[in-house]
Amino acid sequence: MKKKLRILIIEDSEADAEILLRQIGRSGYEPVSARVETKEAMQAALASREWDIIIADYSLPRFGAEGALETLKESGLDLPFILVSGTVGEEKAVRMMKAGADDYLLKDHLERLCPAIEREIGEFLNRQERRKAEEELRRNRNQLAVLSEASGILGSSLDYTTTINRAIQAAIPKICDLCLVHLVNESGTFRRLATAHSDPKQAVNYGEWLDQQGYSKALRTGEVEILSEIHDSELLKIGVGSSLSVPLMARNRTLGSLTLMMAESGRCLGPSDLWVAQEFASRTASAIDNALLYDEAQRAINVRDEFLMIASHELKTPITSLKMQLQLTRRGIHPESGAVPPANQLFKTIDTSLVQVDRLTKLIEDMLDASRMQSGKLSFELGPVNLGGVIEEVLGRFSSELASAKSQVEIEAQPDIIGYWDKARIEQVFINLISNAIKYAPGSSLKVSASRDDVQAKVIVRDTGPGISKEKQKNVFERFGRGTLDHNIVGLGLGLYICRQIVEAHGGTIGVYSNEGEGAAFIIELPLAVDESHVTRGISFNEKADLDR
Amino acid sequence: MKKLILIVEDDLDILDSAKLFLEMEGFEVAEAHNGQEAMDFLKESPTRPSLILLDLMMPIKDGFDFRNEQLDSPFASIPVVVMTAEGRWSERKDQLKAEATVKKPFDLDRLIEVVRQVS
Repeated sequence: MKKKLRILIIEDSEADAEILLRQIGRSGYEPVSARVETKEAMQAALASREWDIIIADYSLPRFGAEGALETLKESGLDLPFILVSGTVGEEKAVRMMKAGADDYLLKDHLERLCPAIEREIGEFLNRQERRKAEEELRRNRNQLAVLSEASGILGSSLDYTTTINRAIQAAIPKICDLCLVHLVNESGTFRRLATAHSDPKQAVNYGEWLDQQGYSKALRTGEVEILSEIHDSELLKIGVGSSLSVPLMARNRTLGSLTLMMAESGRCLGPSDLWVAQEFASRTASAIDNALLYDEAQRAINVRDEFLMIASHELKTPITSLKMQLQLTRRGIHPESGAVPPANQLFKTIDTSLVQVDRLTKLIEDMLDASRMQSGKLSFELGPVNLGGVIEEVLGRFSSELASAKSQVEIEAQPDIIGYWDKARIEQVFINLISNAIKYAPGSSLKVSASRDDVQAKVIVRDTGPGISKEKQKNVFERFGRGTLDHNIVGLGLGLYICRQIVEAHGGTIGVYSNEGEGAAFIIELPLAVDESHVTRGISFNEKADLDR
Repeated sequence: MKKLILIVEDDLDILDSAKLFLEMEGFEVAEAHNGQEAMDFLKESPTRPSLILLDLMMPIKDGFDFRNEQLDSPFASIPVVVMTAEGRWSERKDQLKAEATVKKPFDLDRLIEVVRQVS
């Protein structure tokens, strides 16, 4: 099959051009040609289509090979140029070669034409390959330089808004004309974090304009989007020719997207640019994630510090009372005379001291429980438990406090609600709930109701106190979730957290229903039998109840 | 005539012990369990206390709110000694314009020394 050869012939003689084309045709090529004889015609021909080679006669009435070579150079195109002439002398031929012609031959030796054509096209293709390789190398170097610079900037500070704005500027214009970073907000909406362009004003314009057009697929779905040729008329209007968006991913979460765009440079983004975009995105996502992790750690440290402050205060309260009791007793003892305080006073002092020791012990146990629950080191002892019995027992223990707080208590429990639970832990749940009711809703009515169906038991502990705001309900079951800034209510803020851990470890649920000013109802649902496969956070279950515990 | 001391403290055990101690030391003692009760007492009592022993962390109305209200009331001149379990007692003393602070757990000798000095 003949190979097509696109030849632009600079020749005033149609007959001579025909001779050339016949020679070329005999050598296995299928020539597709155009003949021009003026500069303007050559310019038009070069602009209108692609050519494989130019063959030029040396002298034409209004033009010539020198002019043609000049015109080729002016066009910026790199094409093989062969001078064919009947009259050119060696001197002129050498001058033409020096000026850029690739070969010359005489019209009466046209048998050399096709070998010359093949050789020059071969050289031309080699040059093209070399240029491509050099271009690729230059591109890679630029890309690596951008990544290196961006990495340095991103790692320089935890203020990712500032560092990302600076880092993406490093991409301009080396790898793109325009770069944008968008983030996903906690609410699921999106916002533009950073825009870069060589002109800061244009950056703002592009950013605002693109915000109105909606968001990239990368941002919406977490998938790469490459648009090598934009067809969207709105984007074309503002000069964007191609774009590449990649998601910002960290720990399997889409944080946002990085978008590269080409505009005024006319360059094109494609699959070969994907790796640099993904590398850039990866480093950007890490910067954001690290900052978020640091913030999280700081918040945890602040919560811990706040807790330590509260715990220290709470522990000092029973210790203060203990110390006062001991000091008062000591003042009443006179070793010289043997005088001691009266027995009833001593008895009361010791009683009060023991109560303080119990308070301290409970506080410390709560702290240890919370810590064990957090690290999954709590063990449960299962056995048959009569729920109504537990409730009555706990209310009995609190009878004097309930009386002091002037709380009216009502129990409404179905008989014989027997579940397979850890009795001491279930007691602990009700101790915490009743204790909270006394502390937060003194003087209110307290109603505890218990019921069951085939599968689970349900307990509601309801008071008519001040209630809990919707805001506080969001974290009331978290550690320190009583609202650590509310200094009007004392306590460690662990009670409900512990209740939740115990209930959930039994496979149950606990929730609160409350409106401010209308009391609070804590609702617990407990499966009657714990599913042994339900081992949460390393909590283990033992079959036998430990009677010594 | 015995000087009257108002103890504002929500922990009943601490309150009882402090009351017993100060009465043993010759003072008359009134008690309030929170800032609101303390303010109500000041308004209703025919006898003006010589000193207020003030806890800070209390329900209903804490020591801070009470002190701010007191300073803006006819009872502003009654001196206050702050009882606190926190570490920042010096800061609290200045912040609340208190005469002194006593750190919890109290040393009774220190407590009586401060009370005698300030009342």
